Amino acid sequence: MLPSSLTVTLAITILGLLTVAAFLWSWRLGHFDRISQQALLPLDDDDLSVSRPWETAEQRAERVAEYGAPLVPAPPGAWGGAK
Amino acid sequence: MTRIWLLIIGVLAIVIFATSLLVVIPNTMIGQVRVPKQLSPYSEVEARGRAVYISEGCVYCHSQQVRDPIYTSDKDRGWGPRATVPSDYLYDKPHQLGTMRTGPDLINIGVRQPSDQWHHTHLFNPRSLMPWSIMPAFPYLYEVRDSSSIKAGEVFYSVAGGKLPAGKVIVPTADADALVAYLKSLKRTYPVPTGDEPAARTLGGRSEHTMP
Amino acid sequence: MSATLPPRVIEMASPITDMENLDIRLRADASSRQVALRAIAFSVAWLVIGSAFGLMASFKLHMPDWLVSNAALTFGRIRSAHLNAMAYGWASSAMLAVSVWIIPRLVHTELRVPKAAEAGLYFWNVGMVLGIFGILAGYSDGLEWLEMPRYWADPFLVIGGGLVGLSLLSTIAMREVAHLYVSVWYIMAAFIWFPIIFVVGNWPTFTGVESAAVNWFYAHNALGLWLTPVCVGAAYYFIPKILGRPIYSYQLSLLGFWTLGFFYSLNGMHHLIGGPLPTWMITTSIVASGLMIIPVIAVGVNQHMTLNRRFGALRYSPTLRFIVFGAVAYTLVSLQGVFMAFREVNRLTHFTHVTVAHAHLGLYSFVTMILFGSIYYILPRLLGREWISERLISWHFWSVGIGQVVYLVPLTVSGMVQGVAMSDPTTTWEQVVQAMMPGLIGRSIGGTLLTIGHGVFAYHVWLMFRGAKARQGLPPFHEVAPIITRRDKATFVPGGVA
Repeated sequence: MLPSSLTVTLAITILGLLTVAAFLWSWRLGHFDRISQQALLPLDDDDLSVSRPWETAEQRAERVAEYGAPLVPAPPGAWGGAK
Repeated sequence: MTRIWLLIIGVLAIVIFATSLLVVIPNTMIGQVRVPKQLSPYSEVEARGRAVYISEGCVYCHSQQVRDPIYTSDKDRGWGPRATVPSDYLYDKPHQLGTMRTGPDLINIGVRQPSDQWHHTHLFNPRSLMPWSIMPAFPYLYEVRDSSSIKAGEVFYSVAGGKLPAGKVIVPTADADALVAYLKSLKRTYPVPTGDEPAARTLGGRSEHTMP
Repeated sequence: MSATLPPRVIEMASPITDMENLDIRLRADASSRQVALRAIAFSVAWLVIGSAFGLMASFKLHMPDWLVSNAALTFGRIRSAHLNAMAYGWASSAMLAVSVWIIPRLVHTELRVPKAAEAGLYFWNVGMVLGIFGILAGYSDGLEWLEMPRYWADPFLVIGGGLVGLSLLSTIAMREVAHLYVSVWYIMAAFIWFPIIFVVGNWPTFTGVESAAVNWFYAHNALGLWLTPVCVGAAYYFIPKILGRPIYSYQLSLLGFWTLGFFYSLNGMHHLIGGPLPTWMITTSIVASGLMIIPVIAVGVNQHMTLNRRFGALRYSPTLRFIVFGAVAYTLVSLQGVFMAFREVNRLTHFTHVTVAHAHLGLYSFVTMILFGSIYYILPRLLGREWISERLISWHFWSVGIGQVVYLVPLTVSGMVQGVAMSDPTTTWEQVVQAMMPGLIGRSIGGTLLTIGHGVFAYHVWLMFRGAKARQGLPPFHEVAPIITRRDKATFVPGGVA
């Protein structure tokens, strides 16, 4: 039966190893550098410095510490709602 | 990730791997299945009936498969003497295995209901036979005529359950006749092809629980 | 960090000022404006059409003598018209809009060859019209999810999807950022996957059980490799965007991407458990379905932890409300799917209305809710005006929110009762039908609520389009004076190292 044959086992192993190799190679190429900063890509500067009305005082302080003060009030419709 | 082509290669690899495993390899294996002696191709009228079955979307409520009796009640419900196997479907293009049983399984309906009268009145209005049925009526597959207008040699049926005014009968259209011919042809009761049939060795006849 | 950065990153390490940053976003939005607006208009039209079909099909299941005199209105045709109008008309058109709008924003450049994307959108919708008429006229291909005629409707979808994909790939190729955000991966992958699986699924040579295997290989991948990636990609964009903080773990999102692609693509055969297929195929799919727990937990943990301690945001942002609803539903539906793939559960739920409820938890509660949320964010930025009425948004949300509960809960429960009844050979079929009844009626009530919600949404969108001519303005955020500098500005510039 094909799935239990040695050929398939070998083929799957080779495929798996190729995947691992591709991963290590891409790691060396720098694809995974500064991962946590890549997470900031969708955020523009003005997104970060806008005051979020739902944030606690503590969270607001974090935002100021992280992205600078003072926070700007949100423009109308900023969160995808009506005015 | 900075290289677009690396992403593209990975994405293509995934879909090629899955297609090979679930489409290409099975294709070569199922290609070896031999036709059981008792299974004949659909006749012209049965094939037309199958086309009606497909275009009216019967598959959305009726499956055409008997699952393994070891862990389902399909056989005990009287839907077939055995689980169906790949060679049972060699002439089915496209398949109509189905994923829903709002109504009962039909792979052996030809055995259970050999009567033209039953099929036609049931298709015209299922509630004429079973008041609780939720199957759609298919009146557009029939002509409703005065019983006095029936000429000699014409096939007609009367409908029970007060679904037709007195003095009216139904005359099946060619589509209805074909559909009933198809339904009556649905019989997979012959024994599972065994022995030198590759079908049984490689694919069929093996229950879900006895996989090596 | 690493000494072996690719040269491209260094080339692009030009300082970008805040003003330019804002400018990039405006240019990106302007470039995708026309295509995205038209795609949204088409998608909402399909939403309304698909709702009408769906509601009709639902009522027909407990009113079987209603509208039976015409073949085009028979249950089997209306039901597949509903599925195709929703999956390919509404969801896919909305996904085209979301994709052409998000990608330029994320790669900091204009949408390239927008004419191709627009032509693709038209091709797609022409194919849809032909396909739906084909189904209603009785020319179904007879395969679930692939009913639209393969020779005179489906080619339009392949060409259409391909053209939009071409435009997106050209945009990504001309990107002005070094790194591709994970949403770009998901969306790009979906546009590569879709034409391939759609052609394979429609390939006309398969017969018998192989036709079934290919059918479900495609049908499950339509969700897994087309609808899901785009919607997960959208969630990965909007949740951080609105909360103003990056996702909890970017690594987890990358792991989620590759495992989603690899495991989801092998899931299809679990629709045929117990069926006459080679057992190894079904077992492969069951194993892959079980492993789906990895990408699902990855998305679940990420979205929950990003939102954690900020649930108040849901009150402020309708977009977030819809998208978080969708993301939670994604976790739920996927975990449910994992369990339903196990043989012991499947022997009861297979062939019952639990499957229909499960499909709607996926396609409605997950996909559709995410697309609603996305449109709530995108449309004002394209039309340069805000949504007109908070109340209409609220009605929309609660109508579809409650509608889903009324739809899904009775249908799931009575589907389970149906499964138990079917598994006992002494129950008559009449008893089985009676077991499904409460679910079928609940579905019609829930479906009515959903349709009302869609009506409200469509009306609101129509008001937006109509009013847009009267008052052209600048999109929200435009007025924000870009005076604030991020603390890590010195060390991180989107698009390169500093």
